Amino acid sequence: MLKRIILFILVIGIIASIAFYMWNKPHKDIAAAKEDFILTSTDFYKEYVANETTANTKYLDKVIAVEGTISAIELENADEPTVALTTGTADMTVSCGFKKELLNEIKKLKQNDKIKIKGKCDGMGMFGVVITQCSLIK
Amino acid sequence: MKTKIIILIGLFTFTTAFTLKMESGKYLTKNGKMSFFSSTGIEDITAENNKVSSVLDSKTGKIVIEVLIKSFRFKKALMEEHFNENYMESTKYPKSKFDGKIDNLSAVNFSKDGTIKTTISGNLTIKDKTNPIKTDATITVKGGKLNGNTKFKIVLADYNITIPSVVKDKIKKEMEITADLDYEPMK
Repeated sequence: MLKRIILFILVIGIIASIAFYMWNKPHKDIAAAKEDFILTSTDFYKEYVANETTANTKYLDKVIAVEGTISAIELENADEPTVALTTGTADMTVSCGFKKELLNEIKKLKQNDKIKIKGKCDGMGMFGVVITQCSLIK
Repeated sequence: MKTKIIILIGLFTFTTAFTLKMESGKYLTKNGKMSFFSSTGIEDITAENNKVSSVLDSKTGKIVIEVLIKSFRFKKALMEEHFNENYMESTKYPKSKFDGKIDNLSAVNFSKDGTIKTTISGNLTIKDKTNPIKTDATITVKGGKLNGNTKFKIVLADYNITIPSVVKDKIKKEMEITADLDYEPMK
């Protein structure tokens, strides 16, 4: 009888801790994840312009390493400092959103710098392709 | 004399055309904020998106706002997963859009600092559903830049957002959405 009770408590305990872990499971660490694709900002944008649906099927939620030239550093939204990369099309960029903790690193960058950025692909907005949870690849 | 007048008229037309081209009257943001809130029996659901893009045309009052669903960040990874996979089906419907206008455009003076309360109305598309909405908004003009602020509620069922029956009682059927957009003049 006692054995059964102990077993029962043990099982409940395991289920509860799994549930607790699932509930509090951490976000995927994009910075530590291996990239699924490596490409230039120009090619990335071109693929999206050619066919947004196809590009979404291929890239959404994937970890992308993008190489490109900085067209602007956008700091007006303090919660997500952004580095925009050129695409060869005026006013269109690959927009890379960083966590606010990385603000100081972003401030060191300059327009026209060549750079490599890793992030998660969120799709194409009005002004180009958007990747978030970014980190700089050194 | 005649040639002078012609030159003058020509010069005038040219400068007017040039000024018109310079002042497109359009404002844009690429990194606007949007968040939503819903309370449940277990805990509050909130998420934030810092990559909202929008164009506001001060001449026509037209406003277009676009949001990528996958840019919404939750505190809990599991909630973010459920939001994307079960509720929003964000791989199938990666963006939402508002296409509308400022209702009383004449009340807004874009060249003078100040705050104006107005309403905006238009069509809101979430997933594959489009519904007309009308909401209060505040437009603040400061130093040539604009801030647009609005808060409104949507009924989830209106946008085909279905809640699994297991958690039906826990999740409210409405959701409060807040947008806070800092616009800059378009070059």
